[in-house]
Amino acid sequence: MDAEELKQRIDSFQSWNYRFELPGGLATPVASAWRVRRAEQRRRYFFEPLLGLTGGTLRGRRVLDLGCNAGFWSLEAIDAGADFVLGVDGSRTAIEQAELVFEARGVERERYAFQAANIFDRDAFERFDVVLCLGLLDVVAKPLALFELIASAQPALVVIDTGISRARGAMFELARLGEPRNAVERDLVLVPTRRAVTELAARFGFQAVALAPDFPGDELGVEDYLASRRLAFVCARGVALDALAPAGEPPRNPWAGVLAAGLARARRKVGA
Amino acid sequence: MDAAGNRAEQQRRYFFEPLLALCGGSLHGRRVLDARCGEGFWSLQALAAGAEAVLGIDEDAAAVEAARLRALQAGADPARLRFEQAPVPGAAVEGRYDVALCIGLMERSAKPVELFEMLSGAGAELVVIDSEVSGAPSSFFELSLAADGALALLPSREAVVELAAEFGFDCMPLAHEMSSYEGLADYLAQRRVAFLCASRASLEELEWEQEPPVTPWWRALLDPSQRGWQIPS
Repeated sequence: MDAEELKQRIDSFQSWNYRFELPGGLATPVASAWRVRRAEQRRRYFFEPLLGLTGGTLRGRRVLDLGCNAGFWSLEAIDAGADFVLGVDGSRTAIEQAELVFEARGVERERYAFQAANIFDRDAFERFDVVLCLGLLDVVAKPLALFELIASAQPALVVIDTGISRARGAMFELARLGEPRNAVERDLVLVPTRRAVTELAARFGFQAVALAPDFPGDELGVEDYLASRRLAFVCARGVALDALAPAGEPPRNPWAGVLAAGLARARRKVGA
Repeated sequence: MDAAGNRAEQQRRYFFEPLLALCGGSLHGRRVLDARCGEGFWSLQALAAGAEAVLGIDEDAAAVEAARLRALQAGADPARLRFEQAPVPGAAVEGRYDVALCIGLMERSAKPVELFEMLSGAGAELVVIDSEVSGAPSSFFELSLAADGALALLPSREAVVELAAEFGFDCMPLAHEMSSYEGLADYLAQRRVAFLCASRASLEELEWEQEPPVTPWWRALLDPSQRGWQIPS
């Protein structure tokens, strides 16, 4: 594929959620610098800790990327040395984007596969060492079925990045998506609280740690994490998670929470 | 009458008679899906109320065996009444069932959306849901462990109503005024309530449950763990 053809194929898509650097100095266009910054911040936030747990590389591991979109995290996994990546997404367009990116980047064909499918149409996955479930849990209405699918792959490590409800206890909040096209099946979704994720993970034999949303000096792209509306969890079976920095429990009294958030913001401003 | 007998009789008056009333006094010509049949009590009630066909399903094999035995003893017509052991939701239901009973099902299931998909897939137009409910404020499902260790998502009242609405049902929690609350402490404390859901019939004649008292906002602000309905445990 020459540069001209690649450019045409990139432009044939209406929009891209992630910026990919491609050969010939080309890159996929994204709507804002915010999105680019967000991806970088999230890489530092949950992807680097994941690599920390696997000794800095994914060599020898098979990775399942649920809700893979254009394959951004699948490509991160490949770049980190993963043997094989399977990306699944409900959007056919997203899968076509992922196929294009992987082809343009020259990733060996036998190292990846993408499927445009509703994951809930299947009963189980084959075996994977690492499962990425990024931005999926809070846009579906079947949390238990999703966990059953994750567990069916028998992974040692799972990363879950999800919007969370700020309610107390182990709850799922019935909510509606602003953008129904994100929904795997319908625009009605069940958004978990932090405790719901850790308790559900525990039911499937995973120890789950909510990662501390530490973004030193820079809020751009991670406003939802800093406002406690989003969190990433690393879940492990047979892997020690002591090295991870867990997020502090939200304060019991809401006023203490407001105060703490204000102080943290002031500290970031001063630090910046 | 003992507590269990009183419970069954009061439940019959509480949600089964309003269901019959919505169907014009009997279940003649109706096909009924009893989605957690247990030992078949409500399946047999539906049959006695004139249902054309009743299918009772339950995950518990022993319960299904007991239900079959009970049907045999009651001399029920096997062409009209069947029991099957299958997971709910998840069982493939063949044929159309316009009435569905979910008695004591939701509090033992962690797949509320799949349940409604199954019911609407079976063509249900009237659904009775009798379930323990969570005291959470607004539309929540509370992750809880059922008595036998199974995982469950306990719905709040609003969650049931909103979920039913998503599948095209009008849904309301029914008011209860039992003549005796012996054996019905959970209803009395408003930890359990029955809902009627209808996709075509009008629920206007029915009376809404008086909602339990809500923690005043200023107390909830000071102690968020007290938010929501004040339900005695």
